[in-house]
Amino acid sequence: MSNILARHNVRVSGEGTQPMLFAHGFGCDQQMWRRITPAFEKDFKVIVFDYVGSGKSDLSAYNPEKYSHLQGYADDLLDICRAMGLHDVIFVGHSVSSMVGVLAANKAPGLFSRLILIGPSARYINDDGYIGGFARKDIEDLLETMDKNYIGWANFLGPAIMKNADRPELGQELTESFCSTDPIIARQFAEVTFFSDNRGDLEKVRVPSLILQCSDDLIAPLAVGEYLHEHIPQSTLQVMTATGHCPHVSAPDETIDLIQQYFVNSPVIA
Amino acid sequence: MKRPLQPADLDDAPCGFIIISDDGRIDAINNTLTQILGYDKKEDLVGQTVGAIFTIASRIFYQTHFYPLVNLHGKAHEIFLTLKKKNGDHYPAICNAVRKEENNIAVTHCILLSAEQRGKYEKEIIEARRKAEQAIKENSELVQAKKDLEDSSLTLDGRLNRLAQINDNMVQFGHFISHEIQEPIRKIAVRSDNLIQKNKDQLPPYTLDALRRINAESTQLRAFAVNLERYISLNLDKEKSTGIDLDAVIRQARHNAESPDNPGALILETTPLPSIDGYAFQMETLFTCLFQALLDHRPDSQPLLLTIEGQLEQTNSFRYLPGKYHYVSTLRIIINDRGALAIRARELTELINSKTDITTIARHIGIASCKAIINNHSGSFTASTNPTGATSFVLQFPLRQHPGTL
Repeated sequence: MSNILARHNVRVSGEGTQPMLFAHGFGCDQQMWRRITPAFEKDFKVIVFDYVGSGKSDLSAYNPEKYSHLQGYADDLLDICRAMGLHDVIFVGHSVSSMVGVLAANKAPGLFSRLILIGPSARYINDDGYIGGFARKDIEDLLETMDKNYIGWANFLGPAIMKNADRPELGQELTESFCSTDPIIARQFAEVTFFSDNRGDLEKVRVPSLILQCSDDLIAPLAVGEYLHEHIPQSTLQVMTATGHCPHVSAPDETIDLIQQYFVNSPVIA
Repeated sequence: MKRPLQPADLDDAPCGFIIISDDGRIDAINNTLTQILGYDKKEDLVGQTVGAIFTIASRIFYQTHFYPLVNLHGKAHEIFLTLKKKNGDHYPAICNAVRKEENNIAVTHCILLSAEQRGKYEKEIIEARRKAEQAIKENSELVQAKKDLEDSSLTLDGRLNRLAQINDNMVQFGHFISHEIQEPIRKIAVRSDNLIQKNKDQLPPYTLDALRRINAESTQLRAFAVNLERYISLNLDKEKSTGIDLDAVIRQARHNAESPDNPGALILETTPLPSIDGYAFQMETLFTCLFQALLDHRPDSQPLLLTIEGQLEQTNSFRYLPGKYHYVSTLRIIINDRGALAIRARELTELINSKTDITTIARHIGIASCKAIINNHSGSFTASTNPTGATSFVLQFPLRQHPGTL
């Protein structure tokens, strides 16, 4: 158990018993959630973690064959749930993690009680009548952009001073590595994410879900959110006033309100 | 001349400057960047989303990396982004950014510098790095493959060792059984013969007939046991020799093949043969078995006359791989009869060249021995009958054995 928890740098907080498991998306790590999790600590057992290759995960656990498919990440998610003996899990996934959560829930539906999908997409590349938002060339350019940014990857690695303006109770500056990601792993994660096609997995979802769709999200446009809502049984679609792809960073209050409102409309406390 | 910094300084600074709102819109842009991007006036861009000036790839990177980094960390340095000019051309740029609060509204200030020249150089570095990574990956795969091979070798060695032990035990057991069985069988044969000789006038015909059968069958069984022991002994012969004296081997084999009560049944006319590499005892067994088989197959009790001669020739030692050649000196041993064995020639050849199964070994144990020995020496056997009715048996062996084959 401790192996798996260390592998994913799992952190637990909160006073509740029902688990809320937050899964970060492509490009960052569990710190993405720091404006969201405090709001749920009173009522839930809040769990955050890093995927292998991100944050303070165990890089030596990275296996290019395992992680050449999102199922590899989903299996890790299930490892964490089982290692911690979790059940009735409320899964909160951002971006690509939404599909990781869908894959995990399809494999072990009994473990999950709700899926909260923030900025999800089942397929990023346009395909024969389907609007994903991107052409293949765009994704190839993205990989090149990533390559070039990891030449000066100091931004994404090593300790950095983080200002905690939004959490003044912490007072002084914290020294932490920000969104540290191994560049080679990040590149493969980008390929796996943006070339994935999970449209066939949507109909199989048996867990009620909430889709949080941003206005004007380049990465997951409105048409994608509507497609997901149409194809995932028992799903609720909420279009946010927040723009961009990271409402949990840019609009934490709205994100928190919509999740709590969903819990009221669709009670989750077991 | 000292003077305070003025707004125009930033507007016309030798770098692009832009202020981006939290919802991804351009709040302000300086003259330099407006011109670089090919626009006539700032108003064409102010209020637009950053999508207007970023390529799609850079917009994804902005959303997934740049924005969270600046938002949570407060700043970012040396971020590579590709800008899009009004005419569609790309403008690769390096960006430094800082997050600021203006009237409680968070915005991001960015400066942008051309990275066109640096970009070309970086492209080469990236390519070199990719090649290096590929080489490292391939090397680590090789190291892993080597390790796997070593592990497999250890497993294989263990299994071979176990197999060798089992084989040794089987050979010893077979040798013991076939050897031990010979003496009781010989006694049965001798006693049944004595009984027949001493009492043939008193015994009723039925009993006498039964005794004769017992005698004949035990004699046959004994011959079988002798051959079986010989066959099993082939595996015990571990001493390979160089330079076996074939003439001596053939003389001894003739002696072995003639039954003690029928001396002179086999007459050999030989020309001297060269020495070859191999197992001396196996060679002796081969010729003994072969002579015995020929004696058994002669149609009457007349002595069998065989001529034996040797021929040296060059043959390709590769027998399976096409297009591979390695010529070695080969000895052809030609054994001719005078026509007495003609009918049996084909049968014998088929037996020797047939697939060895346990029935063949049991029924023709002498032949099975011959076959095993010929194989052990990378040899071959053929027989043919010429128009005059005489039969030629040809044994062929390499003169020198390759170290790996014995």
